[in-house]
Amino acid sequence: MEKLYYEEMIENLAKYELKICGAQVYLFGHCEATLALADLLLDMGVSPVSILDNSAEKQGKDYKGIPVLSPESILKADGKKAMVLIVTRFYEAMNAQLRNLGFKGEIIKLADYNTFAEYSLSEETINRKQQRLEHGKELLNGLKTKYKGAFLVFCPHNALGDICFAMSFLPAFLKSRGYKEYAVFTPSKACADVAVIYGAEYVEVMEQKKLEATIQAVIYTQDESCFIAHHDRPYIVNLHKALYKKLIPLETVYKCGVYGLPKETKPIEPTCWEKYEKLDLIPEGKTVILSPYAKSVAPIDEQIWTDIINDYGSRGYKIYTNVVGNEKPLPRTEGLSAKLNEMRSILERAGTFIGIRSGLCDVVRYAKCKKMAIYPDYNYCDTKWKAIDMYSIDGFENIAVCEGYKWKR
Amino acid sequence: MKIDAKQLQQWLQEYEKIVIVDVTLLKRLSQLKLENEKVVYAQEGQSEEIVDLYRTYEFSDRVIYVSKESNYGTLYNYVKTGVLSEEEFLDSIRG
Repeated sequence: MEKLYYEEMIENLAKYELKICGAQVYLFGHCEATLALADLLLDMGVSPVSILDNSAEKQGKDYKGIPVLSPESILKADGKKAMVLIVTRFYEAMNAQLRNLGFKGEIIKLADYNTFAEYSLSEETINRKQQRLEHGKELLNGLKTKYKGAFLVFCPHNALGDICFAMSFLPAFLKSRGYKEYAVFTPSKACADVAVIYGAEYVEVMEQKKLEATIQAVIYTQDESCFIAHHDRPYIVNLHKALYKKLIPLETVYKCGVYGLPKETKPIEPTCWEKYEKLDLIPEGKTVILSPYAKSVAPIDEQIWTDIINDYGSRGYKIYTNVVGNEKPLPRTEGLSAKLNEMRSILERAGTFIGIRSGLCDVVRYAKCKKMAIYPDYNYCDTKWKAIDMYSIDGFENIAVCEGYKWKR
Repeated sequence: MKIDAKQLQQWLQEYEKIVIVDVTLLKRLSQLKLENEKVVYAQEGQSEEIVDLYRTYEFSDRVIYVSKESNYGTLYNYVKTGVLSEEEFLDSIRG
């Protein structure tokens, strides 16, 4: 969960603490942010009754004893005591769904993930959104002045993999539009770093809400020198509707859906790498780099990582866990924190990379070493396609991990 | 911009979906037969105001705007590139 939203969630939890402590608390949307909220509530001594989720596959599971149930189950709750807390970007849709079901209790948005949406047509809402749009237009005009003559590319979501896909096909897209110079705008430094690895000369990090307001201005003005390079954000992008009918791998979604490029267009490789300065500490060809953490993917069974560590450890490999921020190295491994643009040199020195399928796998896609991507058993968003169907990577051994999976040496 | 919010609210109550169709796609979508959905053709009368509002913010998740936009990816790109047939494209809109 982004630090910005996490802090907003904590602030709002404190604001509503008295109310929450006296209520029957339900959470809506089983995702990383909701689980972070569940942890905070449990620390406060509040045990949520359940996590509501529309996905049939998630229903029946539980998180720390909190069952995942269908949203309809809320109707059994005491409307006077029940309260639903939401920390996902689908607050508006979830709020509408609960009200349509007949839920009368309080519904609280604990983080404003989605400044694009407000399901109201009141004069007050329209005025407020028009003011936000005007602010966005000012921001956009400022950027057009700053990067005069350049094509402006907006990446609305903080996800490394999305940036990789966007950047991979950007040169072909720019050529089709007759532009050479461009600037990329991302919501985080990590995403900006990825754009730089792909050769972007002008990259700027924008605070999320300002980025969204600017993107709103792009939508409204239809400025042809601007582009929103994402496969499902913001709301006006409806590419995902095709996925309810047909499997379209994410690379094709970007190439053909986002950019309208021919199917045979090849992605470019990132080339702006730097050499890790401590490469000599990494035994060449006898090291494994593990990447067990991913922002928006549920972790896999710890036993699998234990078995991987035992396997490679018994063969004399040195094992590192790639860690960022407060992440801890796995037991019997050493933590490795390097810059994104150093990762290729690290992997090629090490010889082996095993990671949960995350954006980092996209970043290191072209590293010349043995690479394995592990896919937890989940569906892509609310479609019927498995994650491995949507974004298995060429050059990797792609391993789907279902219940009962055992690591094979 | 004067929005007839009451009209829009009425449509949202009456219909499961509001499909706003860019008039440049009108010919292709003449086969688009929907039940329980309101099809609104952009650039025709009041529809311009609705498109204008939709470009200002997301006031409902039951609106789908179908166009040949150039600022972001669209379903129609899939038809252009051969990823979807026209029938699959229409099916995707129907939901």
